[in-house]
Amino acid sequence: MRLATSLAILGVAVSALSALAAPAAQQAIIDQYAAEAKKADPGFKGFNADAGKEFFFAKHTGGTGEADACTGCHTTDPKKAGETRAGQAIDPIAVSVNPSRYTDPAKVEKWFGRNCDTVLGRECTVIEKGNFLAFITMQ
Amino acid sequence: MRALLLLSFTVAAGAVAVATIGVQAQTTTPTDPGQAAFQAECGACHMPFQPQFLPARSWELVMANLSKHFKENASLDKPTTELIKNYLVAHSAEATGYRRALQGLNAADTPQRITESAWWVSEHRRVTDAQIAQSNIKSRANCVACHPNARRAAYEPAIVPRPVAP
Repeated sequence: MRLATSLAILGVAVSALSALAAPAAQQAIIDQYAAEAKKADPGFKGFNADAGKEFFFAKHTGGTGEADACTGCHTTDPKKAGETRAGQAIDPIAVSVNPSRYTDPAKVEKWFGRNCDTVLGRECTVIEKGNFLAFITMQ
Repeated sequence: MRALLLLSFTVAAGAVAVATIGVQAQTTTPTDPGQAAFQAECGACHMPFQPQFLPARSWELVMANLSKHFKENASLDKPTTELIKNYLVAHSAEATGYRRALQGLNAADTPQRITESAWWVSEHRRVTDAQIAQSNIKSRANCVACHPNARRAAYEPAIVPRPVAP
């Protein structure tokens, strides 16, 4: 009985933990950015999903493209398909509906490199990248 | 029998459309790594336009300026850029003998927009700006909006879709 109770408590604790962490492949990429952030700032305490959400919805300036926000192509619902300026569909970016998102570090860097330049006219900081991933991997 | 007739008509119509446009169809499962990279990378944002539509020098210019690709950063790593450029040059208007894409061009002209080519403008002269602005078309670069078989280089049928609520 005591064992069963302990197991039940453990089960709840594990599921609570997994609800807070991104899926493993995505978490590995977030951890990589976190290590980079920690290297640059020893006081770094972790990424902030709320800040990532704000970044995703914010209107930015300095970009070269026609979109001034991530939502310009990805829409305000990350679970829905987006659309490029050329009218081509973009698969949803929310991991819950598209588990293959953010599993390839090179691909993640490629798209941050492109889209940050197009929308913000600069590279994104490692904090911005990590915050965004903390947000989007939980969507 | 009716199905067979319909099928042969469809195949014939497809063949005519391909013959009319005179460009090579792209298969959905390319074996050429250059073609595969071209379809995956360029095709991530827009229909991979048939390389026959521009001269080789245009593709060289496009691929040398991917960080400023029609107002967007479309950068690729060096090996992938080179692989795709070589594929495009090897299938350019000159390489495939698609003379239509070269008509009216001086040797120094290096067009980057297929949609500004004389032949393209002439073919689309009845299409209005309002039609292009429809939410289900959006861009002149969205070939498949009006040419459902454009990916296979078949540009017939050509039908402007009815506008839909955005």
